[in-house]
Amino acid sequence: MVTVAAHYLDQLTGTVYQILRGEKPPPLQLPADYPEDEFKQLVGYINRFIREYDEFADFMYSMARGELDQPPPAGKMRVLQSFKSLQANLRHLTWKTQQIANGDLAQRVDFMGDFSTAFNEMTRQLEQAFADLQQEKERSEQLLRNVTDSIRYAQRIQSALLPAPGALASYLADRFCLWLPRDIVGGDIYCMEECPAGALVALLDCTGHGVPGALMSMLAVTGLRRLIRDEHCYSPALLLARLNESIRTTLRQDTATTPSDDGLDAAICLIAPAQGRLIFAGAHLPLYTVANGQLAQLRGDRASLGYKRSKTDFAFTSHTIELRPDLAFYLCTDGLLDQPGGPRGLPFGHHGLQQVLEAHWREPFAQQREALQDQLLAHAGTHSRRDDVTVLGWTVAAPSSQPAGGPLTASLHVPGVGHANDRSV
Amino acid sequence: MFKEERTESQFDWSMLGNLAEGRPNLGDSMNVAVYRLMQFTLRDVLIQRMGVADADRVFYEAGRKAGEQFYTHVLTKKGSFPEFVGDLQESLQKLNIGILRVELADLEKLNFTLTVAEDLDCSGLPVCGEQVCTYDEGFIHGLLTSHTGREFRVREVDCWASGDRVCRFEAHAI
Repeated sequence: MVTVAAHYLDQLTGTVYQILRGEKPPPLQLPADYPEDEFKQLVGYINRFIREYDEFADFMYSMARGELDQPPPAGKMRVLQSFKSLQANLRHLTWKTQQIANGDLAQRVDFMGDFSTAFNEMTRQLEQAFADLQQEKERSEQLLRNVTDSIRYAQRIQSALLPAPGALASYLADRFCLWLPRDIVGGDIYCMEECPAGALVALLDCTGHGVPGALMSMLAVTGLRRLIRDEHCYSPALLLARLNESIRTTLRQDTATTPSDDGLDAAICLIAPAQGRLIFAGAHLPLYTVANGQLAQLRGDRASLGYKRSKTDFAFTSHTIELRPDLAFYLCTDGLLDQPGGPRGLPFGHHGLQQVLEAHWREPFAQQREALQDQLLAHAGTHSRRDDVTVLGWTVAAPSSQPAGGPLTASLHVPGVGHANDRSV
Repeated sequence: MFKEERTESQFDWSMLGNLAEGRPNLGDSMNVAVYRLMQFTLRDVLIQRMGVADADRVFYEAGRKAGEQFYTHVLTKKGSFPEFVGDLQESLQKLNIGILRVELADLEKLNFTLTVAEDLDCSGLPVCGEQVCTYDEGFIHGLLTSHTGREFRVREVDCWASGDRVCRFEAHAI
């Protein structure tokens, strides 16, 4: 029979009591010379239980904090095996979730009761949502392709309205046309027409970009051509005034009921080499000249064309410029000057235009065009294009190169040219 | 075919035969206890004849051969590791072999920790402190080698028979 001192039994009782109370009892201690009997063996196993229980508790605590990489204790207690199983399942779920995060929505979890059901339903819904999204994306892409194809076709039509590459060849010694619609088609358009008075060059900047701008540009350019060809109006100032009226009435913007309020800015030049002059009138758009490497600006009137608010009786100013062999002319829409760019997102501006034209004024116009376009792109950088950009540049050919029977002498009066607001420059 | 003397493997998948033809009434399923009856009696005799270590080697090599053949003839998705695992999980489940789960997959170092719950060989065995799924170790070796082209060391670290509730295998490429 084994005899155990009462205080050892008390220690044993105290240890079990501490474990049940959630405390961490120290190992039971027996003297070194304690006999190797059943009680000493029991104490050994109790101490082993305390140690493994502590390890198990620490393991469970780390798992509760989401630390799934903690290696499980080496014991064989049943409760430990179950929690090892739980850790294995949690790690497996982590791996499954990582696969889903990597795009594999076919992942499913089995034999984990309610969690399996909830997890699998979540992935099924995710898979469905992605499939719906993909379908919608494909549908949108197809729609975009259709619309873009339609706009590209519209570009062909708008391009057909532009002057032929050799237009006014006999009047212009050198020229360039830089036409850059922002959205395949746009609201900028230009026009070059021969007339009994000489040659007309017009630049029109209509409201909007893209398709609405293109529609306006077609309306404006056909209206202008009708005034020139059918109504024989050749005065830039008069053409602006009548184009104003034409747009307002065509769009019913002379009434209060129309929903639209669209119009344009414009610049028109009449080149009359036989008379040695160029006549300019502008509705907001200026005329630039370069002579001896110096840029000068001739401002247009502060009045737009075609809007409801545009005054029908506004008298545009005619500016007359004496032609000289060293004089180059430029028209541009505000899309160039307003383009933001550079490190501080500032507009290209008058200064930007001046820099390019004054640096390249001696070069052929094809090279000037290239320089302007390169500088615009470099300035814009990562900033997206803000507006349509059009720049026209030319020098006037000597009068002897005009066609016979062409421009008239200075003494012949041409109806529609000559205005109360004439100014000489 | 089945009884020839040999020094090299002559196993072929076709040796499994045509079950539909051979068992038109009983079908292709069988009780797990019958499978275990065969395995453990075979293990018993092998250990008597050649010792535990050699018997384990026999089971490991047989398992590896089975894993290679399983990869070739049963699995169809052999692209990425997740695809392969998904296919393997589904196949093992359909064939009532076990419920495979991935605890850890380091695709760079090719270290894996896999668990098999309700394992065919051991789930429900008496707890005796031993890890008995040697055939499964070889099976996993055969599968991983077939998929990656690398040799592996596969070791069972937890087993129902040693007191755990799932079999856990650690595999490292060598």
